[in-house]
Amino acid sequence: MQDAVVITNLKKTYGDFTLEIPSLTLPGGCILGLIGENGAGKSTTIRLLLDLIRKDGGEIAVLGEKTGTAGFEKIKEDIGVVFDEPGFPPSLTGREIGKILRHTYRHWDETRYADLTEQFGLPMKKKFSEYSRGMKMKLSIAAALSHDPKLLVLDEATSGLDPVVRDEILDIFMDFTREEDHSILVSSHIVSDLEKLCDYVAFLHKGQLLLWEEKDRLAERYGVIQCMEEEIEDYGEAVKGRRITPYGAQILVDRAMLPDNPEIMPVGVEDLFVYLVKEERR
Amino acid sequence: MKALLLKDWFVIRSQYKFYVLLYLFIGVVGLLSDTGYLNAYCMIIMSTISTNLLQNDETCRFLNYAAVTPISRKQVVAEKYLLNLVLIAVTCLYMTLFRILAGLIHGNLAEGMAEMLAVACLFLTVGTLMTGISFPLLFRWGAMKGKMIAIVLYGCVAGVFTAGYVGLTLHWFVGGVDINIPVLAVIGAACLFVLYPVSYLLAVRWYDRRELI
Repeated sequence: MQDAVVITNLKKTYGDFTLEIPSLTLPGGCILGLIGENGAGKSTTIRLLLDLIRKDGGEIAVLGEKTGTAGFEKIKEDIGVVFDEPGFPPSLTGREIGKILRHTYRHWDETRYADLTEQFGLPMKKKFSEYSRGMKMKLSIAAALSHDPKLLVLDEATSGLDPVVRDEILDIFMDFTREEDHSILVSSHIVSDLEKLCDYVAFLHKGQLLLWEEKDRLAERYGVIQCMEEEIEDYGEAVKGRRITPYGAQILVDRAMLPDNPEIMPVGVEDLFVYLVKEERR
Repeated sequence: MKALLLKDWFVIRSQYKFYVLLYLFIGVVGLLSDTGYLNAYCMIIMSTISTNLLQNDETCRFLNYAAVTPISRKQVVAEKYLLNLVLIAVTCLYMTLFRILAGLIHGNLAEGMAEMLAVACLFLTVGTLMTGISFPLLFRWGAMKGKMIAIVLYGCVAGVFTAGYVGLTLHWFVGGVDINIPVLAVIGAACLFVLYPVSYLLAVRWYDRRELI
């Protein structure tokens, strides 16, 4: 199956911020979570792969087409996008937005749009400006799903939503990937959402790709050891992160680099990310 | 492009209902007072609609959204230029109809039509000139910066027009009107067939290179 997104030697510089991603792939039929703190470069990465901004170097291919080419314009039919700020004019109603999108996408499915907006309980005669934050995101998601996309790109699509709505939306995304050729690239700083959803995770920090790995392999590869602060050096290169407390230290280790088998506790994706970022800051 | 025109139609219908009343008021006042100077207000109002629509698109981030759909950047630009021409044509037609009515009521249809023709040429000139200047700037630099640059340029254009107005042979005689329509027609045609297309091509080129953050 074709990879949904392939990024190679990507570089983008804005003033004193540089985004550099040597290699990142979203395999077809999978979900990739882009995790990073605010300002890490997640949205920049998404804008680059949607061709909203120009890259300074490297290559990006989406659904087999390189960005910036004529072929890329054609595959926009197959990409559904949800931004953290949905770009619908505030004076339009949900119904009017549907009419506009019907003339935008060749494969626009009016029935699907109606079903989704009904499922979400959206008032279609109300103006977009009168929607709550959750309703705006739901409408945006309904629009993104209603033209038979092969790839969903979600940029902070769940931030600012309450847990119930977030859970509802995550279920919809899980449902979307039941189709073999459907993929999702989702960026968020709410790691717990991504932990439920993703097959792959990529950690961005200050424009650098710290890690890109299959989510399930992270638990196999990394763990946390409780020890005294002075014992940290004994673990050498295996130490990938540390947390010093008044009672001792917790260190993130790469299991493959440990000479023996000490007692290792599992580590969640969120904690793993925090460990790696703090180690980068040292 | 149909999607974009439909979007702008929905926005105009929702946000600019008041303008319809304003146009009616101006038309009725012009009708009763048998004067065409109020056409200038229609001209100013019309020329702001297209610009405001573009600014609204930017503010609500519709431009970013459109850029990730099958709508091309060229279509976004083309739609705004086309819509502006439609608005000019609709307003011209509207003013002409009211002028004809005024002429019939006050018994000065011939003079009124001559004046109307001159005003239409002037309206075409100003309508295409103002957007011809502002659109490329707005598409290139966005609403905030583009608007500031456009205001400075409008000031320069207004200064040129004021100076040129003195030199244009627009004579109003007691009991009659002598308007140099050919001059106005040539200026209007130059704006429509030369400036406007050049402005469009520039806007397409600049917008294509613009980063949508």
